[in-house]
Amino acid sequence: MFTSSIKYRELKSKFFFYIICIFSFLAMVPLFLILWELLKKGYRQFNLSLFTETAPTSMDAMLAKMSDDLIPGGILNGITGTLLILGIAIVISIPIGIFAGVYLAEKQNSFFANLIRNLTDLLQGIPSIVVGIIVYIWVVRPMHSYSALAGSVALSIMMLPMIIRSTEESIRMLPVTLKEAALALGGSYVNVVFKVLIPSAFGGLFTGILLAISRVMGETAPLLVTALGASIVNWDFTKPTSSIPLLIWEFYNDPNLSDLVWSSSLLLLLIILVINLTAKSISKKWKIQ
Amino acid sequence: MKKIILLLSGAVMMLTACNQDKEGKAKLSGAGATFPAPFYNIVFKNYSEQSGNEVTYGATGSGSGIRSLKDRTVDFGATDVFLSDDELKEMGGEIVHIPTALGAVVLSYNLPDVKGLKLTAELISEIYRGKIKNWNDPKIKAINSEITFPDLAITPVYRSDGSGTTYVFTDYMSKADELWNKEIGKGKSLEFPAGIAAKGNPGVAGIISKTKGSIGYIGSEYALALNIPSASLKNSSGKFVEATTESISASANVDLPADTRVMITNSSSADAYPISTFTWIILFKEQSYNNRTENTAKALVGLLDYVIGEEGQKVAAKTHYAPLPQKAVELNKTNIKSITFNKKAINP
Repeated sequence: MFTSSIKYRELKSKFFFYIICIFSFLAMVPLFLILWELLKKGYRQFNLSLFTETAPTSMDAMLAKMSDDLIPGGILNGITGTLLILGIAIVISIPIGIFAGVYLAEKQNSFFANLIRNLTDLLQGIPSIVVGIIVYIWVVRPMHSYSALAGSVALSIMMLPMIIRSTEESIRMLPVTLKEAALALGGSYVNVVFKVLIPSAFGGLFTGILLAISRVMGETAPLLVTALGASIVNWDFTKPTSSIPLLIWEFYNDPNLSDLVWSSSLLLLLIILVINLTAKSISKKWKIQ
Repeated sequence: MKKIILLLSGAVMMLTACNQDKEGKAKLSGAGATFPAPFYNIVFKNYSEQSGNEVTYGATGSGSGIRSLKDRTVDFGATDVFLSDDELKEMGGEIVHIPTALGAVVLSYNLPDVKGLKLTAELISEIYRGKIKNWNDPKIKAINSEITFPDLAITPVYRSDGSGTTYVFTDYMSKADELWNKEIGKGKSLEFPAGIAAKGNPGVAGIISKTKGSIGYIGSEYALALNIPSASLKNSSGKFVEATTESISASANVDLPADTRVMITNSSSADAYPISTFTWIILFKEQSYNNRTENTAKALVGLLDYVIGEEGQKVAAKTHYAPLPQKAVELNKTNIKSITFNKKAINP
């Protein structure tokens, strides 16, 4: 009686173990299917000119298709645009995000900290297109021009919650003794924050920032109404600028250019995968002891 | 951390500083209609290469083009539907309409072994209202006596999304067929009593190429680029006309109003293809708003001159739009001359 009950339990345990294994595997299948599909459809166009030339016009593509050639041109204007827009977004969101995060970690239960924490969570839930439209009213209209800057403001708003929360978490994970020791050595509070807390939690901060970047990198909707897109390489942040997701949207809408959708998507996915893997390895290396 | 922030902001500043406007070089931006986007992308690129003035265009839709110009966030807008009198009043400044090319809506069909299908507005109306259900209907045979039709059901295809193509098509149908006008009417998005819906020109083209016996309306540049057969239509002079660049251009060979705000469907011109339309660039007549420089205004006028000029119109024809007829070009020239900067005319 007793042994059979144990056997039954062991069997049950095994059964559920395998069920969980199967479902975990199923959860990963879509990623590999997506990668496979993109590789299959995108490898032909995934060449050097993808990085060195700007997007082709519909006619170039049509002529190339008629003679069965590869579509000429690449997405250089999208790559540089993504770099410019993300660069400014990082400059805007990092200081705000880190200072807000430090505040939340240091004044955990004050009224203001709770307020800010809740508002940050709400900010995370705002749909990206709504952010885009608000930034259109805040930045595009007063500046009288669609611009890379407007796109950056939209993206930085979307990056903020993640940076704030990851900063808060990493600083809270530091042992209290670290802060106490620093203060005991006579460091001023400002010094302790800047020279002990932030550097010690740097791994966590950096991971949060990288994840925030990869989260907004593929955003299209907010950029459509703020950055507009451009067919040339543009480094002027007050002018309309393209980005990789905007180009993918344009290619999708033009029957002659639709082949380029796959190689551009593949590139975007690869960049985001690399950022994610970097974030993972950094968080491992800098793990707080 | 501080170093990284400093480095990043330094890099951004350097990148932007070395790309400030050089003397004499303007940067123009426009947004709007998706329909002429393939044409605009090429013609604007050519103009940029020739003049050094950079032009960017965002194909965000006619409605967005009008709103962006109203908010003064672009130098010019692009639209397939001209502004109504009410809309003009709301713009907060006098607007100039410049037609840049013509396009047409064609009825493409999928009938194996049938070439040179002819249709009239009455037939199209009965097909879309579900009255004629089979290709071997005697009413279709009566016009196409030389064709033997298969016993095949007709599947009309229409657009499910709001679209200028639907507007132009139904504008013509309401003019040419009374029953259509009563039962379906005209608009950007309508209820059709029969048939299946598809999204965008690519969607309609896709269904037509997959479904035997289907017929649907799509932009002519689409049908021509993809080489899908389309029907010739009976125009107001009783002639059956195919959609070619010449017959589409001929639609505009009628008396045009001075501001070019006109629908040219069901044109009275004898050789005209009946479902044709202009696509416009719109801009403010007085260019000295929001600290814009005279240089920018000059570049904009230069761009318009280039688009309606010989080289621009050649690109239109190559991308399967129809070039403007002489009358429209002359009207455009007068309208472009009326554009001012600080109340002084701009010399291109």
